Amino acid sequence: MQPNSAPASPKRVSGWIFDVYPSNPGEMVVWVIGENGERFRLTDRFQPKIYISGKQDDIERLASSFFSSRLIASWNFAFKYAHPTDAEKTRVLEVTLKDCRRISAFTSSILKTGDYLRYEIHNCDLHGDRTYLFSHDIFPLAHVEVETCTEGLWYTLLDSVKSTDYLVPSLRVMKLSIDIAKKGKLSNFNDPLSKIMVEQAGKQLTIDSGGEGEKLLQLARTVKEYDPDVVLTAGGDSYLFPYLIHRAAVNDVLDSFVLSRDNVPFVPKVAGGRTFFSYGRTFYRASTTRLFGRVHIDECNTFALSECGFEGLIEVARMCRMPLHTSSRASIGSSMSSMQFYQAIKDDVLIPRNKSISEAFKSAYELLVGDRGGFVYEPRVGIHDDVGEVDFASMYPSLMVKNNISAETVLCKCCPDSRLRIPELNYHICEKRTGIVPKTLEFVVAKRLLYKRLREEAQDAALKEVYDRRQAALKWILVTCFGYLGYRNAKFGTVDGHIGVCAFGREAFLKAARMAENKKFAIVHGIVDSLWLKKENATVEDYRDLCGEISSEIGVPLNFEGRYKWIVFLPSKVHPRIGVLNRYYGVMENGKVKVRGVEVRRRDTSRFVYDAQMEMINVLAKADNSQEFFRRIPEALKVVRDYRSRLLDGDVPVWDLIVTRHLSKHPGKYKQRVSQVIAAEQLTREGAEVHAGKNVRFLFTDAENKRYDRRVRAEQLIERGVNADTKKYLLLLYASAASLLGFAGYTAESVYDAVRGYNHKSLIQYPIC
Amino acid sequence: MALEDEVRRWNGFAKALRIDDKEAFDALMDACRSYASAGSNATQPILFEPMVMSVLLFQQKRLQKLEKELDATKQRSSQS
Repeated sequence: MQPNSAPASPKRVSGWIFDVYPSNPGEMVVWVIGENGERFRLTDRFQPKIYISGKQDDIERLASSFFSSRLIASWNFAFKYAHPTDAEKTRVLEVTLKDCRRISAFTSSILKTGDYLRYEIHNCDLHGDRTYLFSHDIFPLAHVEVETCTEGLWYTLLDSVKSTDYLVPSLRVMKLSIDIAKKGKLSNFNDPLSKIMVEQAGKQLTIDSGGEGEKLLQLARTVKEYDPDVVLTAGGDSYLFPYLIHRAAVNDVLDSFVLSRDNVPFVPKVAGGRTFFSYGRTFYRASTTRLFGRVHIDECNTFALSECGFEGLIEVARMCRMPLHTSSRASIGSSMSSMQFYQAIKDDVLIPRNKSISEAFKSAYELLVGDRGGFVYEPRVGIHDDVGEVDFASMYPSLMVKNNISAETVLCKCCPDSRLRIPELNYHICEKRTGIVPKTLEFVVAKRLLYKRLREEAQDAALKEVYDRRQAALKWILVTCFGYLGYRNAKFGTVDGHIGVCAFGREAFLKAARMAENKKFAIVHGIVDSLWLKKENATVEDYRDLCGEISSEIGVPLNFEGRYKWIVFLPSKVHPRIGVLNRYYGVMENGKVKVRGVEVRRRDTSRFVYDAQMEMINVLAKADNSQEFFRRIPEALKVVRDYRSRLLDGDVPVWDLIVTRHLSKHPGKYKQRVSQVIAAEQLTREGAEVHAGKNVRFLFTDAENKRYDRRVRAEQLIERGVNADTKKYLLLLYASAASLLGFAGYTAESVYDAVRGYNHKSLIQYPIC
Repeated sequence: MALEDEVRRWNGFAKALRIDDKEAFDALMDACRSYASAGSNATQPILFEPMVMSVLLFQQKRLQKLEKELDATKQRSSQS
């Protein structure tokens, strides 16, 4: 590979690590953004190490056969913790391979030699780029001084992962989008390219002259000239780049169509994306397109960027030591693993190929006792005044750190008589050493608290925003760390620990609730780590004092989130006398409106219903207490009346009526022709690819038509003359009003009556039991 | 979830009730639902046990509330 635009590598460079990837066998390319703004391409030698454990004579016999292997650079014996649960180091075989891309081939050959039983292979599924970063103790966007020596690169770290006040070089970001001259209703790979739009630092450029091949080459020239660090696309992984690569191949310009900094042309795609299942939802993820020396970020395929912006993404990349390309696309689980792997390598613990720690045997009764989630106090349905909300900050991660919960510490072999025990199940936890999971988390929990403090202290609004985004990025890591502990493929995960965290959580939560009750606070609602407390005439200081007492008793900080002017806990739609968790709305004293579980929070709500319900909430939010709330109901119903008139008068644009639904399986596998399937079939007929896990957007055209194809119309296929099903949207509108006012006896029918001017149904106040 | 299964197991019983009895039965089942979390925290293998306990608790609270109201009424009438 030859550099495309970088200057010759100097002897010593100070700057920030930008990108790392393997190039020729045994070689790693490192891009550094110099302090003077120059971009340098450096190369280093890199040969990864993997480890083989087994009976001593078996591994010795295996080592004697290595002289014939072309993949091995060298080997020796080393002392490591072969399994995370081991209390002592054992002698294992350390093999240095010539090329990090041949690890999986080597691993399979060794496993086969040992009939998949004799040898265990460790550290074999780490990516080359990450192992390189780990081994040099550096991380993406680390401020370093790099010296080129005869043995390779020598890094002096001028930065720390722990730092909260780090400098980030200014990155050149190019936005890339395309326009396709589609022939049918939907565009496909055979349609020619119409124009390419690029935007960088306020400059906009449209490439639309010349033949298709010329346009593509002009794009390559523009990218070389503008030399962006980050190429931002919407759908680059799933459509934009595969399409451009296909068009470049069709026009025979693939070899010159280079967008990377390194002179690496694209390879036509063969691998498709994948559909996966997580937490009850099906997801689809397209295969990724990598640019070497630049970072391609697909706005449709990034969690970190969409949740917490560039600042959050950089924080995740630094903390998890993952190159930006990977960290922008990584799920939080893989970010979490990356941190754990780094910790394990530091601690001389080998990373197993497969999760090897099994769950402890449990009787049916033990399962009944242990296998439960967090505790919930059913909400007291209705409207309440004087309610305050208190939340435990990062409850589960803090409990994991405090109680040392990790795969190797729960039911450890070394201290069966430990005093630290999981409540209810009585499992012991190691007292002699700190587990890898708590070690990793401790640092994240502490850093997040620090960012939150800095956010509060910062005077500058922009700086406040930066700290907020960084803490939000860490929050996501903490939110998922508990679930990840129970994940079957988490290498340092344990189901027993996962159950244990819940048990510790319930114990802490119930203790906190009892302490609040002893102070004469009534518990209106409680979910896992949040409590809604009520006490007449309680001051903010009373709440803060309570939080202080509980925090010091339990050892996990309990924060006072604020007091509500009023809060409504909504009943279940099926059992109107019973409250359900996480369906409420209310206004805090600082004016913040908090809404959970109603239409405005749902992904499948149309803009029209969203706007109507939001406006109703805003009307009700003007009320200062529950009595005023009731007086404002007629005004809220007027909103419904206005929206109804707008819909009937045809003043609502079709785009505001589009509904988004999720496809949980392939459209052909549905037994019922539900709306999203009909829309997906319409798209498939027009040649679009529809995968399980994708969202389908459509309009209700005639929801009750016997001919199902007429019931809805996919968004992309809406043409002039397509009319929305007014009745269906009116019903959705009334239902959204009824779900807000259901606690006061309103149903969709009574909202309809009220809107039409009939007498209101009498308001029913449910007794608070 | 488990509670709804158990309630469904009593469908035959509920079906045979007269309308006013059915209403009372539904109120009892709602009483169980409103103590579902406590019931789950009891970890009893036989689900009917926490259900009975929930109903007893519900009735007891009702009794206490009525007693309080009765006392208040008695006091008011003795004062007048």
